[in-house]
Amino acid sequence: MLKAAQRRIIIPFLIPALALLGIFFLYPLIKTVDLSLNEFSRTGTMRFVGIDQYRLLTGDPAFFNSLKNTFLLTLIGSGMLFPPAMAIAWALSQRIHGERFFRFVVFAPVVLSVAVVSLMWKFLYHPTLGLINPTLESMGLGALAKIWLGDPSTALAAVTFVSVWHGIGIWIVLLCAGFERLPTDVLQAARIDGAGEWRVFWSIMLPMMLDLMRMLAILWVVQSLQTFAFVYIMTGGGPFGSTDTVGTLMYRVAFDQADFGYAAAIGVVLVVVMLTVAKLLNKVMKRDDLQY
Amino acid sequence: MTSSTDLTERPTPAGPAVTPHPPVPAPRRRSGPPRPRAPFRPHHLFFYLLLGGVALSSISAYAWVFNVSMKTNREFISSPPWQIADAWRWDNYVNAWNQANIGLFFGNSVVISVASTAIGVVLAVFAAYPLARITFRFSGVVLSTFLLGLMIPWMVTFAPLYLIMQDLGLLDSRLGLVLVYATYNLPFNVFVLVGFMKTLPYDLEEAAAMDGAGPARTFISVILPLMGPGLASVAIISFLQNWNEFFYALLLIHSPEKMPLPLGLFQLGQAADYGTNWATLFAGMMITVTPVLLGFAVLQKQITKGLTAGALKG
Amino acid sequence: MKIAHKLLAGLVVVPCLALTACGGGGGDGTNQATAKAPDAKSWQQDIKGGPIEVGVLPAVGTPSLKFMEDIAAGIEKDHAGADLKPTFANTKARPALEQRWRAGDGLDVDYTMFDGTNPALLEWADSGALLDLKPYLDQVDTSTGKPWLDQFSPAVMQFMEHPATKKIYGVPSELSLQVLFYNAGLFKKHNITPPATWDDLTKAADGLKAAGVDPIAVTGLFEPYMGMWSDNIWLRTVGYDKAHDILTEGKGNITDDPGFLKGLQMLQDLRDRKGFLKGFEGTDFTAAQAQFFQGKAGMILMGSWLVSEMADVIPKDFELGVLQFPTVAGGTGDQASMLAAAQLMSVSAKSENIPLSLEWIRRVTSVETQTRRANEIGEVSGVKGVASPPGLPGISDVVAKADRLQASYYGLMESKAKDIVYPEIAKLLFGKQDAQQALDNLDRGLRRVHGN
Repeated sequence: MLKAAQRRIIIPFLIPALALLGIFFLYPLIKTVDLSLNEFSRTGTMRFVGIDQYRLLTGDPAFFNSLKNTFLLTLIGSGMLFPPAMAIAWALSQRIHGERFFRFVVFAPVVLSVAVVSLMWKFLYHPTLGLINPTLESMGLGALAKIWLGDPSTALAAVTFVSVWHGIGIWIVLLCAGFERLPTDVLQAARIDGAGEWRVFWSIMLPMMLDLMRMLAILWVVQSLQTFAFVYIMTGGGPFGSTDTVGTLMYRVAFDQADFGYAAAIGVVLVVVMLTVAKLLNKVMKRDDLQY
Repeated sequence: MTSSTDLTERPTPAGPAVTPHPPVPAPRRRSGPPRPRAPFRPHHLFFYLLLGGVALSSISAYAWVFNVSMKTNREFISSPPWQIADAWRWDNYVNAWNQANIGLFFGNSVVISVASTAIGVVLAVFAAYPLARITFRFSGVVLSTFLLGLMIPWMVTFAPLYLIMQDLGLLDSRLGLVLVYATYNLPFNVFVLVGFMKTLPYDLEEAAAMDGAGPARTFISVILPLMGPGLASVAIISFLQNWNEFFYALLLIHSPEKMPLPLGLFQLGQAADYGTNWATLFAGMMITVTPVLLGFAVLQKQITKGLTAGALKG
Repeated sequence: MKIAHKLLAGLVVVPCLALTACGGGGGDGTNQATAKAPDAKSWQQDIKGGPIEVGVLPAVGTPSLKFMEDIAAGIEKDHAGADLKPTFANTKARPALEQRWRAGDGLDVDYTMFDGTNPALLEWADSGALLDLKPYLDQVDTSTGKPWLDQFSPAVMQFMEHPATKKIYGVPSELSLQVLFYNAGLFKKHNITPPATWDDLTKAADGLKAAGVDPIAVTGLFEPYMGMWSDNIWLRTVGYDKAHDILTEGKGNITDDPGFLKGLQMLQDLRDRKGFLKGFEGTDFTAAQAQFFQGKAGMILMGSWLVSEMADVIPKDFELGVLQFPTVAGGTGDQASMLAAAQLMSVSAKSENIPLSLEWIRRVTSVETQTRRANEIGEVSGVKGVASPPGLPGISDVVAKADRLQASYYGLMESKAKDIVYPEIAKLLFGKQDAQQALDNLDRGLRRVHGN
């Protein structure tokens, strides 16, 4: 009876959102697939070429290079993002002193625009005038000084770090919400049983937040596979393609070369890749639904 | 300049604050008064170090931006990044205010971001409910459709989107931008909210049904009040996205009187790139960032309250 | 419940299909030319008020924009009801503006819509989106007694004119020339000769090095600016037409002409002499230019816009020198030509007010306006009889010496070959490969994108 009653609300609840999604998203999406089967002139006239664009894509080293970099960025970024975000969210859930202050400052960079953050870090990374190298040198660690953005072996990590630094606040807010929702009595019970905080974290908090973690991991993958702005502003994909992501490649193809068909094909492949990765990730991280 | 005729249909956001008392006992979650500050324990040292490091980096970032906003352009170029500006130059702020049309654009930004965030969050929470809590045949398909929205890079869909906006007469209108922003918030919001709803105890609805509440009422009075943390998170994130969004604004809005703030900042950024006018850009940044930070500082109290409110009920 | 599901599916699909139906075909809206083009003889009498949107290159708050706004205000004063709205039309605004053109909603006057030397930029004209300006330019200007067209320097005609139809689709509001800037004060102090030939350049580099100054400022974070070096060297060792055909058009291979390898070797030699700024690999163009003006580097190869761009931050006592890119002894290319771009203003064929749009481009390109722009803003003009900007000492000589202006970047920026050429040059400058390896990689990449 409950089920039957609930079914009545499915449609009215879904319709408004689906209507917006249909008009402003699904329709352009269908058109995008359509675009990818065409060749474009700069003026926007198109000619149907079937799967030619996809065939071109399979032999394009720039595409595979960008795909590789995008995956690397996702991987490096998740390492830079999740451990500190988790630790900070945990810390903030501990009602430590200055919690409100810390919450505020941790979140503050999110509000800065990407352009300004990129500009600032470009100066901080500057090999001779910046902050990082001169500091390292003055500490006698000159050997660690690198041409961060100009060295193909460090550039991708350097850009990824900036994007993580800028956005970590959002992830912490999401994780904090997760910590807030943990059942206090279970945690208290564990503490009363003599479990140390570290133990509580590992054996109780983490497993209970696994669902959330899975969600965030997928979200991170999806978001970083689309990375564009930081790379575009800080390195433009260089040095020699070592930071080129699928996003920056698509931008160049679409806007510099006005080749919307090819850009759309890249986009469609990217979507397929994302769906596959998300699905895999979901499977790997899937546990029996915890209900508490 | 904060209201717009385009926006008369704007729905009021439904939130925990206006909901009646739940007809069922609150779930087994945190109870009792807020805990006092925890006494210092060894692992807190790690926390303080970590938080201190992060705090230092973000404060330095703001200090840097503020410092540059007080320099002349020549000073910016010729002095080391951390050298203190040699005078208070508030005229950079005056210039930024005038050049980026901040007074006008700020109003537009507020209207557009608030309206789109409200629409995006309200529609998403309604859509998320059946997807998370009711099993129906195509729920997987519908959910995937939403999630697909997370995965479409904007560069490919913008050309068809432009044409549809043109056909609907929504080009160069604030309403059009609001609807686009709301739509692009939906997938993320639905994704997060479905995740949150799934972790709520499954006996909530059954208990409400026992008490004779219909499903819509159960949703409004039982589920929504528990969504505090989730709603707060998605609202903040959507708002920030809408507040900072630049590309669609550039694409869809042509009249200066309808432009949001990022377009003003964009022009300042171009003046910096192609005219070394950095000081003004940084002053403009400070002007646009400060109200948002203040808003966050004030709202933070509400948000923290919202986070615990759900648990304190009953 | 099945009905409900079908309904649901229908609600998603139906609007999509409906929209597909009415949304299709919007992309080719630019194809019809309008028939309202005014008569060439009397257009100046036909100017009526009304709103037009004109693209401008400078950003808000720059003196350069203020200058343009003053011209617009002048027109508004002379023609009742005229309302000229300047819209920022530079690089980062292009995607949005081009989309407007594609949807048949382009600006009345816009930049970057046409370049007679770049096949990728002929398409708008070919599709009928742009107004052919030739009839208007051929009219005798009453104030000078000569056709309007005569006022433009012959060197810029190739940019303005469609190579096939000989129609004209743009007039230049300014030129950007690629020149070698040097710190004249520093050169004098260390008794170094400003380089006229490549040998002079390497000597100057050694001299600066010995004096403890990095010879050449360059950014490692924007590949086309590093590419300016190979572009200019190849101009000397290969020649424009050949290099353009091979790099951009795919007519022939890079191994066909030994000048390509020679150019790469010269670049490698300069690199091995430590000719480039220390840490340039991680220096962005803002910082690189700043370092030049702070005397930390002796030379910089850059567009002539450098001075107006950096005007605010150039030290008062800075002595600037401007040179043409050095010639190469024994080079089989063009020793006297110079890489340049004309910033062309094009008028939309669909403009609601073509006479007013024409009046805008006429005023911007008038000798009087161009002279004031050279003096006040420092722009190099494409109009005859306009003195060179005083901020660019020596530019007059440089322009006088140039027998021909050739298109900057060989039109690579709009081509897929850009992603082949400039990264390989960067690798060479970064010391990741030598000249021969660079040539091999270029050959492989170009053969792939051009399919030859």
